[in-house]
Amino acid sequence: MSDRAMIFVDILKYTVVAATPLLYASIGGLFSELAGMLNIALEGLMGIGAFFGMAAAGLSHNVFIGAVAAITSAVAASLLMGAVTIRFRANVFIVGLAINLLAGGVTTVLSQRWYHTKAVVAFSLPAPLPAFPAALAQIPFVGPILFSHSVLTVCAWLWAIGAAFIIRNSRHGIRIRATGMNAQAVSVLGYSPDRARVAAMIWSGVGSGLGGFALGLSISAFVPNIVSGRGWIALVAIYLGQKKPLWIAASCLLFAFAESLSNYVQGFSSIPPLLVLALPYAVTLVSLIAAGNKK
Amino acid sequence: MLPMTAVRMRGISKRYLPSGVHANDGAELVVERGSIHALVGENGAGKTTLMKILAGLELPDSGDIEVDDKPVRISSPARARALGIGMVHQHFLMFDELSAAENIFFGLEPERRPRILGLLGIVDSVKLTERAMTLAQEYGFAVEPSAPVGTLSISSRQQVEILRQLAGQVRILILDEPTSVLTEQETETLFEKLTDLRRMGRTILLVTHKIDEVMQIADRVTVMRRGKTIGTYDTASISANELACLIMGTTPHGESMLHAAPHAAGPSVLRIEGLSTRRRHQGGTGLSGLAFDVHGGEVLGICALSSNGLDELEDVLAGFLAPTAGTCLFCGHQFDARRFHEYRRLLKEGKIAYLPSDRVRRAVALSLPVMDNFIALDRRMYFARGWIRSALAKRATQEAIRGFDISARAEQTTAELSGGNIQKLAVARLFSKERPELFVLCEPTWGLDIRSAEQVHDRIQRARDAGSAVLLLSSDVDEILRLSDRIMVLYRGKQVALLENAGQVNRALIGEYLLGIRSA
Repeated sequence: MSDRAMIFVDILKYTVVAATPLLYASIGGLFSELAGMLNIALEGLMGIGAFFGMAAAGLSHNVFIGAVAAITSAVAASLLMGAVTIRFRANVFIVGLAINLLAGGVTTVLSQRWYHTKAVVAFSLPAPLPAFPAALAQIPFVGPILFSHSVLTVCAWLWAIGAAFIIRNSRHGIRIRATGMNAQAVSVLGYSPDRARVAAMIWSGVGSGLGGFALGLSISAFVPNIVSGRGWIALVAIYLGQKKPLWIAASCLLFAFAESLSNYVQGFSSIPPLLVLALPYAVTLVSLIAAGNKK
Repeated sequence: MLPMTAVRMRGISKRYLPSGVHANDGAELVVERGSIHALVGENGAGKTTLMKILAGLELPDSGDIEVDDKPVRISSPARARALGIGMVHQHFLMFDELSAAENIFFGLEPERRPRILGLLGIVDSVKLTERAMTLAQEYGFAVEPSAPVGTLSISSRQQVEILRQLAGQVRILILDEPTSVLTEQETETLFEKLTDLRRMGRTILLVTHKIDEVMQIADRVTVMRRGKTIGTYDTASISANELACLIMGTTPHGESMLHAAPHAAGPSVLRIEGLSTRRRHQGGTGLSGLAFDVHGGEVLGICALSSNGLDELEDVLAGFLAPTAGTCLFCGHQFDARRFHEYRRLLKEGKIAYLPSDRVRRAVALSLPVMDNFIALDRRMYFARGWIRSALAKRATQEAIRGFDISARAEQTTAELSGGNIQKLAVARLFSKERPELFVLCEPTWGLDIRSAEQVHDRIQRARDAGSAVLLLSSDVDEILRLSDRIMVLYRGKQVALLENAGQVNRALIGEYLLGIRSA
């Protein structure tokens, strides 16, 4: 394999890795979006999931326990958000902003308390569980790109497929979509739109919690601002994917590719690194404009 | 054996806050099982409110309801459903992106067993489609079960909604103005279905204000007026004209309502020819080929029942809805439908003054103080150099509050005002400005008490006598008769009458035009 091909394979491989947190979060956010609530707190919820997930994983030396902690903490935060917006009719946008700010504050304070640093907290964790037999990863080109990934990455795709199925085919999914389409009709037919909304917030919490945790695991550390806009990008992916799970996944791959590319170019080119790092965000902006024009 | 009486409602009262309007005021209703029972009355007679109470969408302030001779309290739509009562609304409650089958069986979808983790039931879509087909066939409806309802025609959507009720084992089916959205052919089809349903033993309650339909399909008819039940009649033993009289009632003021003749009509201010529009929203009616003119010093009253084109005409005259065809001549200046923006400029320049029927959405900003609303349309006077002249504005507002007898303070937030006072504020603002060439007044006294209505009528007459042309759009026949020099009636978007308001024109005659049982 030539050097150039190696680089290409590397970029694509890292694309799949970088898509993992986006996929978890955007599919989670899709549920609340379909229920008619724009969940702008994905960013904050991911941060909460990353911190508590990594802390629990570090403490227990067990990635599974970490994942459970990530989900629990993010769901708790999203339920708080749901309670304030659904039960007490607060503005979902303002509450979302509050959660985003709160997430940054809480994780920094607890990081200082528990680890006595506001900077990088590194964790030594067991090596990630590969999802595929090592032999498959040896296949040239395809092997590293598709089969070198951990269980968590593969689960992100199962999560997306499962969510697509639930949204489309389950009574629960129909209820959530119906609430977003015409909440008044749902209540006139004798069902509670609020229950569907709360359920959607829980899905959001699960997805963004796991997304944050995947982010932490990928660097075996927690850093303040570890999410750095990925929650917002996940939100954009929902729109770019026109609220369809498959297209959302494709959008996540696009953004992840931009991120992967910028990581690579950063090390090699003479373009100012800050400009290169802005690439995923530039892609986001352009895609938003493109999506807007289509409407 | 089920009792003969399906529904009995007694002494039902319902007051809407904050306007305090009595939608129902001791209304009564007795409906026999297995009959088609029509509920008729003018706009705002309380028909829909009474039906919403029966369907659990509104709670009455007082009154008793019996279903199958058992006293019940219908606290929610779910409770109504459990009692076998379902309502098909004027504006359908549909999920556009769900399929017809999913809409019909919403909440009752067949599930595959076992559920995932005992929680997530997966819908058996094959069975769902089958069931929808079977149901549609059973009642003879032609609905494509897997199509998203957003893509269906209005009459198919209505069928989906009816099937949804039937799927929920509804025995008492309420339809609110079901034909207002349908073409004549679709109406025929609907009536065939309703007759079939009656044969199957269902009870049907039909809210309508179309008399020909009542005579055609209903067994019995209950007439409502101003929230009260006037009476219930067998359609076999009453004529269409008698029914029209009952619906319209007689004028309470009798001779005193006689209208004052104009001094002399001036030159033509607005002449409109061949005015046509699309429908403004689902359930609306597009206008077709209206032609009228209005002169200075003259009031042209335009009257229609709801969904017959009055809303669309208001929107055209107020510059919101561009017509699809037509020409307009305003004070000698001619332009056609394509240059609608020129017409809009007339409104902006103050040559045409517009009083909207929807006062809350179009007349005022609720969150602003009364004074800000009062001065909002007069930039030149109150913002001479770009800055507000508050002393002047306050003085003018207070003057208007006194002059028009508005219970408000200039600094008060407009949202705190009652509906009637908001209307008076909008009227005061309109009549405090420089006299325009043309007034377009839509439902100017809607919701006002008698004394305030008199005041507004007086202002309108004075504006006319000062030489303005007045277009009065109103569904209140008394108001039209009292103020208009000429009267135009719209029915299904067409003008069916354009009369001089002279001796032989009375409530009954206008009523016959309004209800479509007489045409020019």
